[in-house]
Amino acid sequence: MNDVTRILNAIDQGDPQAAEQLLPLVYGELRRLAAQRLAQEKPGQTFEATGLVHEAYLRLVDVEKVQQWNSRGHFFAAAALAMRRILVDNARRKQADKRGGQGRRVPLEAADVGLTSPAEQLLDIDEALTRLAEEDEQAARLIQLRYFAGLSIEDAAEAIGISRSTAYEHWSYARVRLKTLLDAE
Amino acid sequence: MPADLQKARELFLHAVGKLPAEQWEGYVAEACVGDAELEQQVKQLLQVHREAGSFLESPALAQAATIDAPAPSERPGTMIGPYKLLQQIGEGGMGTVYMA
Repeated sequence: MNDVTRILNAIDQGDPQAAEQLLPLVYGELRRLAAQRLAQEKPGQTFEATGLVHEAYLRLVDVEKVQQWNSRGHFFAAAALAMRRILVDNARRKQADKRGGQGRRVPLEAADVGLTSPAEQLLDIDEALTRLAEEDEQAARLIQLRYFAGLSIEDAAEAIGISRSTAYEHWSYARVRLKTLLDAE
Repeated sequence: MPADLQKARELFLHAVGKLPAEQWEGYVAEACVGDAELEQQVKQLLQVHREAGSFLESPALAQAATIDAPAPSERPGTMIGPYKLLQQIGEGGMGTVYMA
């Protein structure tokens, strides 16, 4: 049995330390897959998190031995958090590159005009999601699974262990609430 | 969740889930009698809902280029057609600028 499968089973058995071991493994695999994907593609192309997360699942988890949705839920929760970190780090680096990193000064008007870049948007969403988690933890988890790991609302509902109708309510409200928090910044 | 947000959430979900859009305003006014702040909150949620479009509907995309992307093969000394790259003078999100 491989490491991740063993850890998922341990989490299922109620081992409190197992969950902490899961994130670095999933993070490492996703980073590796992301780098590999980028090396194969032409510069400037984009890739979706969804495909990566499912690929990582198939590579890391012995599907025969992990059937319960419980375990899949733990895996996807870790994968969503890992993807969020990878994309946020990536966006931060982009922002830093754009600013030149050498303390070049840009007049305020010039810096503020124009649309926000995808990197900025992602960082803003990340920040708003952290604030949302403070008032509505479960809804924030759903958004994290949906937006960063690319799960459908139904799959995210199963991963969290809530009903579909609750998940749809969370989604309907939290998406709008998150945008309100974003617009307020 | 604070009680006022909880209440606003409830009214918002009822409006978007059970009522046609033209009834929203009347419903909110009636449900929030005497609580202008709540009315304002629910109205704002409904307004954002109308404008939200496909916000967050598609998963986050990673823009290629910086997650451990391999370094580009050009460097000073490389010939591109009749030009020889002399030195790197700048770098941006889309590429690198050389003096040639």
